[in-house]
Amino acid sequence: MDWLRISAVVTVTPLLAAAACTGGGGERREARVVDRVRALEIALPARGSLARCLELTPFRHGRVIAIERLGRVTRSVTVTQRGSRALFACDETGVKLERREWCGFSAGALRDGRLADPRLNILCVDRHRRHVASVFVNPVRGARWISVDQGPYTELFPTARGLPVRVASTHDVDYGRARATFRISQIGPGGRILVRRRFVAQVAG
Amino acid sequence: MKPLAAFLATFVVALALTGVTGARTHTFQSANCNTATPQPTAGMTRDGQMNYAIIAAWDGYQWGGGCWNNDDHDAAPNDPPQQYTGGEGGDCSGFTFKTWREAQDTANGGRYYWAPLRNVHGPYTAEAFKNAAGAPNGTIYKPNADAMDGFASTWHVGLVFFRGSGGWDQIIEAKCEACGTNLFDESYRSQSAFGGIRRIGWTG
Repeated sequence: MDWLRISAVVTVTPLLAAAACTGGGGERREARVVDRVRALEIALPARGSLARCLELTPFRHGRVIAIERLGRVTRSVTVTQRGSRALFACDETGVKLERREWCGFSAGALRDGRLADPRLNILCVDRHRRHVASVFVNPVRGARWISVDQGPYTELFPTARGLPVRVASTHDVDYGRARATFRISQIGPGGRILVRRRFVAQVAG
Repeated sequence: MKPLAAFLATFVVALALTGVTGARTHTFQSANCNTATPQPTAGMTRDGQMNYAIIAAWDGYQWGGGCWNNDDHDAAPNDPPQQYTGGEGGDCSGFTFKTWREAQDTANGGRYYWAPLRNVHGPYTAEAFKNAAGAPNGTIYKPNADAMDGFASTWHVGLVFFRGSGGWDQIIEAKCEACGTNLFDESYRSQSAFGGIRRIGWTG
């Protein structure tokens, strides 16, 4: 991949931290996984897997901002250009969709830096053939991580450049109804929870 | 008497609020739509699907939706844009999915009849149709697009109803909350943002 300029690199080694919490006399341990993220500015044309993602976007010239995320469930790239209202994401799980590396592709229109719709993609499956749901989450001011309840563990997606954060889950995916339920928290510096919400995303548009 | 009056007043207010909440959660889809199993069909003709598609005209638009009746009236008009509220109508990709008789399994290229009141959207978005994701979906050279082929961009998808000239066509599409689902004259054929798409497996 032709990464010409690394404008910001936030690399957090994936770690499995055990945050213990007790309640009702019993002890419950909640595993947390922190994803890796890189924020890059890349001159076009790009090469490699990013180029195959950019083929699906209208971006052909100039530079793009690419947020690459490596998580438990998916690897994703979020792409936009300065001054553009269009935001794109390519998702992959390691399981190809019809020989395509990127099994998911979503597009959203930014308004004041936010997306009105989370742009749910459910076309990807993981190695266990479970449907994977990917959505964008608008970070609130001061949010450093978006935590997603994955059932047995919580996955933390670091924010980057103030852009909507691409998150993914295999938990609570209702494929037949083309919807998925996410339980997320937005976490600020020092681990303070800024927002906690549950939302249902629907394949649309 | 005062405690009794206070109790009655509180009770009436609570009853009214319950009624309001009930009305808000009662949507077109919850009241009318079903989850019946789709019927596999051996054939699928372009004429037949034009007749299917026109049923949806005048019956509204719903972001993320896929259920409508045939009364030529939008039962849930003026929903907020880009919000799923359970109203009547499909959105552009849900309308295309049902009209093209697709399966929810992306690897299945078979043909399935979805009744208009069957609430289903399918797994595809407009950009997925544009990129020909899924076994039933393909792309075509735009000048070859004929009736019930389509044009898809990153943001929208519509189906050719009558082929026009000069880059214009009569398109049947679930266009937007304010404009509904209907026939519109569109220049998608001549717009570079749109690509030609085709359902694989027409039998006539």
